[in-house]
Amino acid sequence: MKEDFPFLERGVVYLDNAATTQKPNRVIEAISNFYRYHNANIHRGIHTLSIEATDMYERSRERVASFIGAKPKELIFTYGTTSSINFLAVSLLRSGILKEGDVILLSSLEHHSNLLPWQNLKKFGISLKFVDVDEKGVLNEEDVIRSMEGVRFLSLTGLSNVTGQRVDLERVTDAAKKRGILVHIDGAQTVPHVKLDVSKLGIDFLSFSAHKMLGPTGIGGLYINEKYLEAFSPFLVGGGMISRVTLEDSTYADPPEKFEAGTPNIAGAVGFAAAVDYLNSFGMERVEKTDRDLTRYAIESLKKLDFVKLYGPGDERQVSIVSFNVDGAHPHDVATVLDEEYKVAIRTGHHCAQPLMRRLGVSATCRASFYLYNTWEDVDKLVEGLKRVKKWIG
Amino acid sequence: MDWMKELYSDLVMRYAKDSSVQRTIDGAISAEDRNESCGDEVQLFLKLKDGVVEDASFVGKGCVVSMASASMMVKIIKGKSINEVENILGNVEKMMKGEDYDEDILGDLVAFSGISGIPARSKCFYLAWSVLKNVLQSLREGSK
Ligand SMILES: Cc1ncc(COP(=O)(O)O)c(C=O)c1O
Repeated sequence: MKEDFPFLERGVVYLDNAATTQKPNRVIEAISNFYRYHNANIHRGIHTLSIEATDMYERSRERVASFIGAKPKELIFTYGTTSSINFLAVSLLRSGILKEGDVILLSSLEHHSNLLPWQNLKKFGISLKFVDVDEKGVLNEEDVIRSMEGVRFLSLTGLSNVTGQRVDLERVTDAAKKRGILVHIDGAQTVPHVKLDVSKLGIDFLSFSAHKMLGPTGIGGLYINEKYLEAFSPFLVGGGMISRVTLEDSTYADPPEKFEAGTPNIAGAVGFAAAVDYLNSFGMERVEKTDRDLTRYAIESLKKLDFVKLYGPGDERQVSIVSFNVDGAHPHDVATVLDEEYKVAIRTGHHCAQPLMRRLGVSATCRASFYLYNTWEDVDKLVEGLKRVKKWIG
Repeated sequence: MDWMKELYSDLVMRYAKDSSVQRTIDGAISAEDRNESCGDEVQLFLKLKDGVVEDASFVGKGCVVSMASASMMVKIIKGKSINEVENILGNVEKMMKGEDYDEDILGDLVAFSGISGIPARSKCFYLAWSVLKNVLQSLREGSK
């Protein structure tokens, strides 16, 4: 399967998959084929190419929607998770679904992208409430449920991009539904690694990014449960999303077009669908098992190094991501040595989660994150590199 | 990788790990800066007398590169006049940009001669110097 990923020919041990994943030939070819043979603008054209491009775009939507268990009209293409959440927050406010006096529940695990868009609503009289994690950075689902009193809206990560903790979304969603709380899941790390079905789960909104699941950058998805589609006001307005326009007033097209003003990332959608096809043919159960096994092996191997401190649950709840620090060595130095001496690419820093870093009492961590093309040898290489780091710098 | 060996040379490691240089100075001019992307911090203390740096020190935390750079900085500027310090800073900046600079006045800092080739780490290297630059600037403005 490695041969499907041309990037891996560079011989890099790529352990920065939580930031972005590599792309298989199938995705690269789908995008380049679109530009080579099918490029045209969608929706508005009468000519063959435009009809063909529209068809490719809409069929991409169907495939990505079906990947998360949604209906095509419930899936809006955005630029990625960050734009999905911004879009969602503003639309909830504009359409009056969230209003003054409402309380939004978040956790201290959240990525800045699932925090700042909600902070922006505070000036409209909406308040935020946070569920804290423990000193290892672990979120207890019971604590989330206990905090639901008086809450109108819950926005939670499904899988932490720092600790790799997979949150038990069924339990949390069930409890939220019982209390009439609306649920948005930040699925940036969840959708790539574990099978998630929005209709089975019964959530209202989901955000995710193509580039973290073998697809291109610049495109992502926002799932909006159909019951909100009419009430929701569009975030962007302009061409492509209208029904009738006069100089003074306009009516909008039906969803999902209503939410996609302007020329969308057509080639991106085609690439996104190719990524989903690739994941389907590999099998999401197999993806999850691979990621889980690699994570478990990494945790076991790193635990043997007495100079490494691990964060996160450290058990079967942890999927695809391992955060750690090396005694006496700053994460940046660790990353530089691993990169230069071992061609091992990890990420270091606050991982867009400064509140969580503060909770862990660190300013930065090292993070290794895995995907389906990683191997146990990659983990061994990381361990070997860390021993060298310790000797040299620690 | 040659620059790696240089970046983490014994000399650089000695500077980075020498915690004895980290101290505060009572009654000194003080300023600080932080590198938000990694949380590195440097607080600089400068004691001036008749336009000369009588004493200099810092407290901070961070990676080998930022700490060694800060450590070398306080050592080299001690006893120098403000003009000399400005000159050192100017040469450090040239070194960082990969331009020609005067090796003789940079002393141990030439251990970082390869820093211009490592953009990912030049922010670490420059942290303490950015604090110094701000102090120099406010001194200049204050004396106007
Ligand atoms: C949990 C989580 N949420 C949101 C994001 C933001 O995703 P994007 O940068 O694709 O908008 C990321 C990615 O870094 C993430 O890991």
